[in-house]
Amino acid sequence: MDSVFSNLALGFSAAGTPTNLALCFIGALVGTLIGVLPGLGPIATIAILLPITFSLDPLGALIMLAGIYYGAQYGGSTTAILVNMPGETSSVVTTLDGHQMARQGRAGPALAIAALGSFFAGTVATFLVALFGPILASFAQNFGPPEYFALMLTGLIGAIVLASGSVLKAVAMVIVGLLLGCVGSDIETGEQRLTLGIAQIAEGINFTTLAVGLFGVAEILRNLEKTQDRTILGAKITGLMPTWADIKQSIMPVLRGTGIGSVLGILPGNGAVLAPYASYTLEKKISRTPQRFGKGAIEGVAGPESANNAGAQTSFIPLLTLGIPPNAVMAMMVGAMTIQGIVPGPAVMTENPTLFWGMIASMWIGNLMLVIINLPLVGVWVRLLKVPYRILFPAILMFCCIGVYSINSSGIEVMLVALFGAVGYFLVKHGFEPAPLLLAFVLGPLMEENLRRSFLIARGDPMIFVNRPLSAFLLLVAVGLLILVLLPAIRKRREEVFHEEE
Amino acid sequence: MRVRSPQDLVGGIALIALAALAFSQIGDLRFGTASRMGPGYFPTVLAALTGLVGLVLAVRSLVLDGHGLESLNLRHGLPLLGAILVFGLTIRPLGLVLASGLLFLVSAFASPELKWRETLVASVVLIGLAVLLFVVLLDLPFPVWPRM
Repeated sequence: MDSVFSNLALGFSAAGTPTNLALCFIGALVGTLIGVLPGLGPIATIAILLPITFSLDPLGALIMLAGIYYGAQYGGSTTAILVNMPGETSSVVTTLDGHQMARQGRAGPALAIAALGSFFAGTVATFLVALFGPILASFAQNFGPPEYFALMLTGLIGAIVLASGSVLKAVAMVIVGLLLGCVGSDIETGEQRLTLGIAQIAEGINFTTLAVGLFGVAEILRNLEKTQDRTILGAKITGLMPTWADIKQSIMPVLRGTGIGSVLGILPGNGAVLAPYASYTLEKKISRTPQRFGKGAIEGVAGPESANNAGAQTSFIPLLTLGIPPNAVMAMMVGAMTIQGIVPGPAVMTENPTLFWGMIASMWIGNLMLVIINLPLVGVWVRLLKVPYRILFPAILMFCCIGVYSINSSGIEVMLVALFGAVGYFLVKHGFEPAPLLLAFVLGPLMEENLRRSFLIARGDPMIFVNRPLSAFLLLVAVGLLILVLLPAIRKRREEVFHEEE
Repeated sequence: MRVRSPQDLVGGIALIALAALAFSQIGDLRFGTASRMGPGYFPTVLAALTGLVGLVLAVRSLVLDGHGLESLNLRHGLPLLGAILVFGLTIRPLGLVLASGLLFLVSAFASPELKWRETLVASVVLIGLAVLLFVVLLDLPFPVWPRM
């Protein structure tokens, strides 16, 4: 316990330098700015802003990215409440009661409770990361290649289970992601693989290029075809602060949401996505007045928003301790770390404690910044929402292009963005969800490496995965998940859950 | 025979095409054995799986009812993708300012309602901001103007 506090102290002194505080602030501000733009969720926001962190030192870059991430998430909640337009799946739930509150002239309290609940959840979750991170990392020291392979496989199957829409299409996305991960030179022999003779992808498809195309550009295209029927609330937002009654009603939902989110966030395969749904369902079920839900119940904002933020935070645990991203956003973090020359994994904590603890401390600072930035700036965000999309989209497009160009100073790289943008648009139009693809793309090379090593150890005997208890257990979990999703009863339920989203 | 899910049929065919493309690229990469996997092992297995899933999806689309095709939005899509291509092609010879200007010009055709004066003002302001942010503040090595 003592070491947790001394470690956190180390982290806060690293993250608390004026430069890093400023980076965290700018990250949170810019993240919210982009995240508030309609239809741009955290994945697209981080993809667009990733290049501006390239020139920073590793800790500074990661701190800024964490700020961008929280900012983007908060921006998503803001649009969910004000415009009824969720920036991402996890803030879909917020639209249900948050937007109703806004219609009743209570946008201020809704935004405030979302921010305060998220801050509380973030504080608890940061502490959990600090507590469990080292334990898990020391546990991970015993992991061999078979365990890593089994863990990543379980994560990918989890991503398939939690993807919306057809299971078969989610499977296809994971396989295509793995295939794209093979592009470039082979890790052992250095031979060129699947490069189509394009020199720019000889070292593999650039992660940022893929992410900006699949999420940023495809998202703009989808927004352009929607008719612009954004109902922005004309009325001025008055009375930002929630009343005592609001706060009393919100305390328990915030606590429960934090608990649910923290647990689900750690699960491999993007459990964090489920957190807001689980919290909303629970609050509605135990409420004495369930009929108020969907008509502006503050519990329906407080619980899911806290759960969302707690889950977002604890999903850093598998990334920081095992080096395995549980979802597409964390996959972006892996991309960012790799660009900075850091290999995510259990070694980061021991070899680079300042970076590890500095990043954890910055999560908390980032959450605090959001409360400070967002509440006073709500008016600015509302005005930003009124900027017509015909002005916004070329600006977003320009930043995408400049950002991608700045990676390698390569114009071809920019043109690849157009290609991936077209691919992303095609995928969405045909019912494929691109997030599992991005996750598989990042995990692909790691999986191949660990599979090769496992087979080398076992001389080609696949029984190695079953004979080692931990990997056997993980594979069992994966098989269990697969069976679960294919059971007719669950399948129907799953379709219902995701149907509510739309 | 009737196609019950055109969306899945097109998706399945696209996956099969991707698998074919991957196979054509694998060429003479060594497959190896399970105990010593060659560089061709993983891609071959994945390409085969891609084709298989595509095939299942395509066949299933003849049996199970599903979604119809949504129309592709070329009216916005072509200028948008064109703007990116133009930027990529021109950034090297023309520099940041002119390449961004062209990007704004081409992407204006993707706009839901085109207002030239507004587009002009917005692009001048935004290009100025971009130069300030990326070249002055972040000090990235960008060509700002055409190289003579």
